[in-house]
Amino acid sequence: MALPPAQVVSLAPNEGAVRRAGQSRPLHLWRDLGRTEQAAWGFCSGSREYTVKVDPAGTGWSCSCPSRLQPCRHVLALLWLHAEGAVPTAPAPGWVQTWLDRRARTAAGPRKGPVDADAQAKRASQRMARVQAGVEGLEIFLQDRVRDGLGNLADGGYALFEDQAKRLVDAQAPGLARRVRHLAGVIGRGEDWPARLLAGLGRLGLLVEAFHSLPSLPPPLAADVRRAVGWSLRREAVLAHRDRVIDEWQVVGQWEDPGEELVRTLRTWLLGRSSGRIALVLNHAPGERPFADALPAKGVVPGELAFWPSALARRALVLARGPGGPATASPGGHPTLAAYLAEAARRLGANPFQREDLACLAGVRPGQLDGRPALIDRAGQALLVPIALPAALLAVSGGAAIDVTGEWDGHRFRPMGAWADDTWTPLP
Amino acid sequence: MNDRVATAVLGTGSRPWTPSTAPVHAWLPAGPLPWRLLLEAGVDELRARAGRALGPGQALPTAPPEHRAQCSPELAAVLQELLRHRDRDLVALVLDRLAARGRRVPPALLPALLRDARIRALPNTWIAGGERAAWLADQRRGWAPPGPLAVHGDLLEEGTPRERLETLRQLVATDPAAAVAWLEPAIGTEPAATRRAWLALFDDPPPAVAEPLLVQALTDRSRKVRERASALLRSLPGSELAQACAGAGVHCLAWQGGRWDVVLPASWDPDWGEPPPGPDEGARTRQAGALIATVPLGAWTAATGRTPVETVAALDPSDAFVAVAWRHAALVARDTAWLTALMDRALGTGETGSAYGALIDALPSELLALRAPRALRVRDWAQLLPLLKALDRPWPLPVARAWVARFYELAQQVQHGQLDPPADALQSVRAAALALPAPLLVLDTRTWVDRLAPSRGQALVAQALDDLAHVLAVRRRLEELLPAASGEPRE
Repeated sequence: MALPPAQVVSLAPNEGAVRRAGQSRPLHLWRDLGRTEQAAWGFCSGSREYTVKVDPAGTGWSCSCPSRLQPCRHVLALLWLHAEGAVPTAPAPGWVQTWLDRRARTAAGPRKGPVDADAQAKRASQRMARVQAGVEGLEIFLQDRVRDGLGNLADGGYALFEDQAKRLVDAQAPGLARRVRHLAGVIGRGEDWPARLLAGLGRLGLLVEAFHSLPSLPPPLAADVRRAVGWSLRREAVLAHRDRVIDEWQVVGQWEDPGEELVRTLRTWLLGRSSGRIALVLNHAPGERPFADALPAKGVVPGELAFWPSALARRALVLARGPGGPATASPGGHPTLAAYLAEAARRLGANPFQREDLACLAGVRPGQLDGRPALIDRAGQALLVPIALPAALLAVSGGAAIDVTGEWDGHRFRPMGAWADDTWTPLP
Repeated sequence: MNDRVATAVLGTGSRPWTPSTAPVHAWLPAGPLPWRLLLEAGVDELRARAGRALGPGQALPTAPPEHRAQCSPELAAVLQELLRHRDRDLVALVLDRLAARGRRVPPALLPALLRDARIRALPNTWIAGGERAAWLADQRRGWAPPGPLAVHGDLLEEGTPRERLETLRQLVATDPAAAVAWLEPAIGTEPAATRRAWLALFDDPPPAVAEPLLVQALTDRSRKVRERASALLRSLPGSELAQACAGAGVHCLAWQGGRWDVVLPASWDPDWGEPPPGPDEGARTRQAGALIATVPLGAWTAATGRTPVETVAALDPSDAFVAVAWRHAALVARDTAWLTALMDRALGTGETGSAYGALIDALPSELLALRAPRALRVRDWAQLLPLLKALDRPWPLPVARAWVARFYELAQQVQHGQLDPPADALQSVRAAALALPAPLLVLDTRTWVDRLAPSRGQALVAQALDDLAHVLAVRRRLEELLPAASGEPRE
């Protein structure tokens, strides 16, 4: 399946790559162009001649150029030419077939060998011991902060938290490390930072308590606690959980979290049109590399998702997906803010350690609450949004009531998309 | 700040604190005091999140209904790409077409459009943007349309230097008398650079009400301010200073035997204000030019009994400073006959630069279009480029044909390896791609890229060619999606 030109552009690591791809697009720069269903290929003249091969769906590519950015200009140009129908059909030459075979082997996954259950159990037990040591260190750290006084953190507090986060990373508890780093950002910001910091530290304390009580927790909640601490699940483990849903998944929000340590995360929220299930799909990419297998920023994608075990299943991985199409209906939403907040409270009760929740709000208008930007429901009640209302939200609403989706973190609502005039607009 | 937060700020080591006995905290495990305090805070945070209270908000007013139909999704997609790449020439082209065809930009694209329009004025933004664009501009400071705006009096008194300058600029444009009234008492307390910048606001040309302010500045303690005030007063026809200068200036040129003789003034009279600034070398010529520029242009045609074209043509090519002085006078007086005559002279002498650009800016497009075909046959690309860019789009056929002929000449030289296309020529290719009438676009331009391809090895040429292909593709797409209406001048 060929990517449309707009999606080729969306693969580019930055705008400069699009411009440079345009420079490599003229046909006289290419020779031996060809394509099959599975691949397109050719030789492109640049400062020297490069061998380029791509999966027409944009999920894989290879180029012999030394570009640091991927996909490079030559890959984008070839995808572009393919999208424009400028690449003729031809039998795949040997070097392309070799590449296709290798891709097929990679997709099939690693060769299965006998599982060494003892070694596995030993590794798990070693990790648990390291995490336990890390959690105990965190408990002492938290108590020390409250004993010494949060007021002392105004000078040098950030470094203190950063050191603690590093210790947690060493203890293989990256989830806790992320939370500690997040709290470091609260220090000194805004007049009420001590209260907000204490609230965050308090939630962290509850997570530590929950970790100590892991064996006695219901399994779904225990899974949430383990994930919040930093255990990740292999694909096989997610599949083994058997919470799989086939549906038409409407993309109701997508944004890129710049993340830490040069790994970016693309958060895509989906809503099952038939099942009503909410899913959060995460894609990670290092540096400036594009996200592999990223879902589109809008539209409806048919497919099968597998959900992580959880008391409030949200996180999911995409098992299979078909060609996407435009969204033809609003995702709908709660008729009032009070109705949504009641639902949010129920969800929080199910998983007290989730940080953000998807909120679908129907018929809200842009406005203000005490001079600060907010969304107003039909009952005249307001929900604050951070900093400012997105310009695109203002533009598509024109002050009228529209359906808006976003992430709710318990304090503020971050708009992600809006449905107005029968069109879905992602909000940056 | 509640008791628990106050204790946490100071530390449980410094402030006594008693754990809560509320039922909601009763299940919490016993432990050291700091740990207990933290867990209570965590529980309360969860409770606060679960029971978030809402407050009454105030919704924004709704935008007025639209009177123009929204453009097609296909054209919207084209416009979105152009906005993404900040291609303002092409965005302007699409906006012009939308405005002419009674269509408007979809609301989702307005933020990007208004951001771009803020950086560079895009004609027809507010027509093609529809009612929603105006409404949106009301919601965001900085997105307001350019033009007469209500002057914010506070900014004049309390704004930053930049805000004060911008506010004054608006005031000078809308109510020069009010600007002068505010400036007269205020200007003396500012630093010299500010005084000079404020006076420069009256540069285009100064209104009569500014004369007292400028006269006041003639005695300013800074020489540069005095120079600026003198120059402005000399540009103000009817001012006392201009009249005194004109009386002297008229004697700087003598009409003898069908030619102009230059008579430089023996010395600079203090009644003429500060002499024009510059190095000692050529000072007398510069001074004569300043005097000549104050003389009403009719005085010269009266002296010769000839038309402006003939009067200018009689000037010796070496006396370029006189042409500069006449140009200054013609720009101030907006005298089209003189401006046209001086434009012909500039084209004849191969002039380029900012003064040439000012002349082009001052002349209506149709007069420039009459001159462009001949210029395209004989002039350099450096001189042609500003002229071509100033022409209204689409170009009239004679201009378009002359450009194509000149382009083929250039391409032939490139193909035979005689010439690398100059940068100005490449830029003119883009100007032409934007402005050629549609029939020529279809017939003549498909091979442009190939014609210049031998020079593709040069980065500049490659870039220009890619750009050219892009512009042509967008124009063709625009013709497909929203052709010009039959009543409009047909491209």
